[in-house]
Amino acid sequence: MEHIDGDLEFLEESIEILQEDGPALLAEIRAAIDAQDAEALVRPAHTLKGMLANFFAGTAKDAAADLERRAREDRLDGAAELLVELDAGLAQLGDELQAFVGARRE
Amino acid sequence: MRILIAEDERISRRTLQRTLEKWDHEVVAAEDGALAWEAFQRGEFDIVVTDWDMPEMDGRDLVRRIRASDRSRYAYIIMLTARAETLDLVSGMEAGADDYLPKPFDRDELRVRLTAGERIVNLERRLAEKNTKLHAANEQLHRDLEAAARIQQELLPRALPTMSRLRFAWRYLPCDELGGDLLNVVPLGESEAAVYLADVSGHGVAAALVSVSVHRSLSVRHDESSLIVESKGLTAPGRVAQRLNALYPMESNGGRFFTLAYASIDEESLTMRTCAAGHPGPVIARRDESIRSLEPNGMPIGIEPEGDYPTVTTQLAPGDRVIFYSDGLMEAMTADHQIFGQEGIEATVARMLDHTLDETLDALIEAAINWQGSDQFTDDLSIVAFEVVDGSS
Repeated sequence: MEHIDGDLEFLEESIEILQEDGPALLAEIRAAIDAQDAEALVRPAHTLKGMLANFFAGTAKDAAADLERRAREDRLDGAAELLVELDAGLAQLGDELQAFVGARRE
Repeated sequence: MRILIAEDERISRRTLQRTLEKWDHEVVAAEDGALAWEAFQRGEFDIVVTDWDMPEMDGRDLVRRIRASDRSRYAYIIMLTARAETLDLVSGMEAGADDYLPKPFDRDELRVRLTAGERIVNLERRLAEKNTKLHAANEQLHRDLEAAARIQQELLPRALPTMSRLRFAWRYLPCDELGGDLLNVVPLGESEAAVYLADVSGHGVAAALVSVSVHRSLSVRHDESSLIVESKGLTAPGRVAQRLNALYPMESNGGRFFTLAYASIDEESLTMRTCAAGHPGPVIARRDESIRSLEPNGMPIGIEPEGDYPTVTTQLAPGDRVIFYSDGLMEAMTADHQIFGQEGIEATVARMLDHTLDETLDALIEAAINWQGSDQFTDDLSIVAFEVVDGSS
């Protein structure tokens, strides 16, 4: 919260963006992995990494960073496992943020 | 301040934008480098905060374009980079970024970086304003110098006197806009003429002012105050020098003095009277191919109040050429400091005896240029000359 100066309204806006852009980026990542297209994987992994960094979501951000690194090195081994981790991490983050905002609103 | 943000990731972009707007900055946010570049071209921005890794145009290209643009206003660029991306940081600073901020940014750090940026932008702006004023002043000065140079050019002998036995020619090449040399050919009475060439110490505006004043002093012909004509005829050149010496003491002219070669010529008797006050004496070339130079015979004008300025009389003959020059010609110098010198001048005059007087003067300038290997002279260069033609021609 300090990062956004305790601005609850803005946190909600950010959660909305996360819920819109997060799944879209995940879908791009999934398609790139399915197609074994390392080049196509770099951009969404990088963007998702940056997005998650705003929420200090360590595990999920690390998974995105790992995916980006592998994509840049053109080695997609273990990418599917990282995607599962990322998917779960994103869902968990969404839930936690919603719970946090709900608690603040009460 | 007006701040441009370039960041492709939406939450980071919104977070940055919202933070900056809360701090009362005017913010334009672009979602990639290409859109940021378009926005930058449309508006004036004090600060650009740019992500590094973006689609379409990355941060490095954006920074390079901004730095290559010829905007008068300086934009301070802060690049956003993940802590691990050291290589990005190096290439970003090399491309022209001023500072960097790790992602996700820390608010206090962002505020400090913006303060530093604002300070630089303000300094740059004040510098730009001063440069603009300086440029305008310089332009004005340049225009004034050009106008002054035109006035000075007007003083050069445009129409040379037509005399039955004397033909004149001259060249004048100031090394700055304004020269410190002056020369003139003045017809006097039926058969006489005065020729003079002076070289004020230094060059530029101050020297030019003195040269114009001396020109005025020497231009009065039909008046009691004339320096060059007295009731009993032409003033002897030594006497002209002596009177100028009394009029132009160097302490009254900002420490400036001048050298003077002055001659009066009578075309009937073919006598030439000269005084070379601190100035190289003229080269005299005879039809029999003998070449000689008269010696300087007095101190430069303005240095010694009691200076002695003798007049030397030389008998001329048909075919003689007499060439006066300033030391800008004589002191044309090679890279290893060898001067063109009196020898170079005399040799060139000798080589050109079968050519016209005008061609000879051109040849002298060309020889000096060849000697120094450049057509840029470091001193004013002037030459004034005459030749005696046969009575029948």
